[in-house]
Amino acid sequence: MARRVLEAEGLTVVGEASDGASAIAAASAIGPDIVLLDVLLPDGDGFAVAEAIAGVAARTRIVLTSSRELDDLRSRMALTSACGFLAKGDLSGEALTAMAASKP
Amino acid sequence: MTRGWLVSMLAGTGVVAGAATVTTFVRFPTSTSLTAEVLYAAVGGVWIAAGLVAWARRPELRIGRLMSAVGFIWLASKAWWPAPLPYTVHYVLSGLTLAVGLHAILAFPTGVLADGSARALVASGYATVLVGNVVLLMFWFPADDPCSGCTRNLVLVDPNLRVADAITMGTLVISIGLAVTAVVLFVRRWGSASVAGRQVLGPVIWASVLATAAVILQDVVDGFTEPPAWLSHVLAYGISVTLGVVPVAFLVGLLRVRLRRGAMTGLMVALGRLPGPDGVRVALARALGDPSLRLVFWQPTSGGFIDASGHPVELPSDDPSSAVTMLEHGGERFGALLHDPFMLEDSTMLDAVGAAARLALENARLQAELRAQLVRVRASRARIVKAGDAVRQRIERDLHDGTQQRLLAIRLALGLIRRRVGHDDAEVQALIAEADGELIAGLDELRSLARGIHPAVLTDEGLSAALAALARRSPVPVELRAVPAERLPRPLEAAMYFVASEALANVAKHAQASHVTVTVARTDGRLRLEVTDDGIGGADFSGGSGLNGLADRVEALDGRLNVSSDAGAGTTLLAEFPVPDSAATQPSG
Repeated sequence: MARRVLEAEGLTVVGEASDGASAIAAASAIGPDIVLLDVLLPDGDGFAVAEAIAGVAARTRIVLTSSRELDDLRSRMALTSACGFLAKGDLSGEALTAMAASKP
Repeated sequence: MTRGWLVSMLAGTGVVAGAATVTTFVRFPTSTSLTAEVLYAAVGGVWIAAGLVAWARRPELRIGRLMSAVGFIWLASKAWWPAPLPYTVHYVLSGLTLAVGLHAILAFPTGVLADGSARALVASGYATVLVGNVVLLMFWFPADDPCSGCTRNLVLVDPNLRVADAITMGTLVISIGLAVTAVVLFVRRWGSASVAGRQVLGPVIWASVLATAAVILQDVVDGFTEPPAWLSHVLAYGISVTLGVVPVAFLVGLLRVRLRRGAMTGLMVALGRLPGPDGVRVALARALGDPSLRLVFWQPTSGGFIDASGHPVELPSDDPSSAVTMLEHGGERFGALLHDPFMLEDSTMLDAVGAAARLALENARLQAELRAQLVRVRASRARIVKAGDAVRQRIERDLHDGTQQRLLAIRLALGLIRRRVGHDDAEVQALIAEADGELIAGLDELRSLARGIHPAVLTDEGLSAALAALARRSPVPVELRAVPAERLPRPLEAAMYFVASEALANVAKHAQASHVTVTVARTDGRLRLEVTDDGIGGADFSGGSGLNGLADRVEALDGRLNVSSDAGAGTTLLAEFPVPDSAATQPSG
C-alpha cells in the first residue's frame, strides 16, 4: 500500500526490504535519496537499523514510521540520526519529501 | 492366678507370719518384752501391707514386691525358737532385713537400681550382712543367752568369743560406713532430683535418712559403749518406729504424683500463647517440673517418632533414667512424652497433659497450615495478576497488529481514492474527508483503548518512558522525579504504571490541582511510587474507586497502597513494594 501511495505522487520506489538486515544491504547497494523505515521490524529495532544505514549510506535521508504514536517513541527519537517521524496513517509522498528535506 | 489373688494370699501370709512372731515369743520368751515383739510384728506388717498396696496400684513397678520382701524377711528374722535351724536362719536374716531395706530405698520408685554407686552400695550391704553373719556364727556360741543350753547354731565351727567379738566389731564398722554412705547417696539423690522427682522422693528420702541415722546411732551405742538397758530399749523402739515410717513414706511418694493445680493453670496459660512444637515442650516441661522432658510426634507414614525439627527419634527401652508415655487421641497415637521416671503415670494427670499437648499441637499444625495456605494464596494471586497482564498485553498487540493496521491501510487507500477522484467532484471529496475524519477518530479511540489495556511503551521501553508518556498526556502539568532508567520486574513496572495512571486520571477529574509530582525512589530494597498533587484534597477512596482494584494488584506483589488526602492539603498516593535484589535490574527485552 505504501508503494502505491508514494508512486501515485510520482516518487520512484527503487527498492523494498522486508527486514532490517536486507534494508541495510539494499540501502548500501542502491544509495537511495530517502529511506522510509518502520520502527518495529521482524528482526529487531528500527532505531538501530537507522544508525546502521546512516553509517553505510551517508547521503541517504531516513524517515521513521510506525503505527505506534510518536509520543511513545519520543525519548528515542531525540537520539536518532533519522530526519523525523511520520505516523503511518499520515503517509503521503508530499509529507515524506517535506520531512526528508527538514533536516540539512 | 490373678494378681489380686496373689496379693490377697500374701497379705494373709503376712498376718499369719506376724501372729507367728508374737506367738513364738510367748512360747519362748527372750530378753525383749511382749510390747517390743508386737511392735516388730507391726513394722513387718506395715512393710508387707505397703508393698502389696504399691504392687496392686503400680504392678509394673518392682518396688511393691521389694517392699513386701522387706516385711517378710523382717518377720522371719524376728520369729525364732530355740532349735538349731530356726536359730541359724534367724541370725542370718536379722542382718539381711536392713540390706534388703536399703535395696528397696535406693531402688525407689521403679524397683530398679538407677546407677552404679547405688548398685555397688546395695551389693556391699548384702555381702557384709551375709558373709559377716555366717562367719560370725562359725565362732560365736551364745553362752550368755537365756536359752543357750538348749540350742546351737548350725554353722558353728570353733566357739571362740574373742574371734567372734573381732568379727562383730569389723562387721559393725563396715555397716556404719555403708549406712553413712547410704545417707550421702540419699541426700545427693535429693539434690539432683527434678521438682517432680522431689515430690516423689521427698518422703522416702527423709524417712530413710531418719531411719538410717537411728541404725547408725544404735550401732555406735551398742557397739562401742555399755548402754543401760533402758537406752537399748529406747533405741530399739526408735529404730522400729522409724523403719515402720519408711514404707508409709514409699506409699505417700508413689501416690502423691499428680499434677499440681497451679502447674496445670500455668500450662494452659503457656499453651494459650499458641507456641510452636518446641514451645509446647517447654511448657509441658515447666508444668511437670521435668526439664529433661521431650515431646516426640508419631509419624504414621514412617511408623516412627520424630522430634520438633523433624529428626527421627528412637524411644529408649530399658533406660531407668527415662520413661515413655504414649499420647493418644480417639484411640489413635499422635505422639509420646519421654520423661523423668519419677513423673509416674497418674491417669488424670496424663489425660490432662495429653489433652493440652494435643490442643497445642493441633493449634500449631493449623497455624502452619494457615501460613502455608497464605503463601499459596499469595503466590496464586501473583500468578493471576501476571496471567492477566499477559492477556492484556496480547490483546493490545492483537489490536495494534490487526485492527489498527487494517484501519491504517484503509486510510492510505482513502488517500489514493481522493487523488483519483480529483478535485472536480466536490461532493465525493467531502465524503472522503468525512470518512477520513471518522477513521482518524476511530484510530485515536482504538489507540487509547489499547493503551488502557496495556501500554506498548511500557512493554517495549519500560517504566521511565511509559511514565513520561503518561505525564505528557496529563492535562495537569506533571513533574517526574528520579524514575530509575533501568528495567524492573515486569509485574512491578505494570503495577506502578497503572497506579500512576489511575492517580493522574483522578487528579485530572477531581483534584482541581495545578501541579502534580510523580516520584519513584528506591531505598533499602523497597521501591516507592509517590503521586502528590496540590489540589483540594479530601478524596474519598472508600467507594468503588479504581484504586481498589489496584490495591489487589499492589498487594499481589507484597506491596502496600496508601492514600492521604486531607481537605485543603492536596492528595498523596503512595505505593510501596519490596524489590528482591536478584530482580533489581533486568535487561530490557
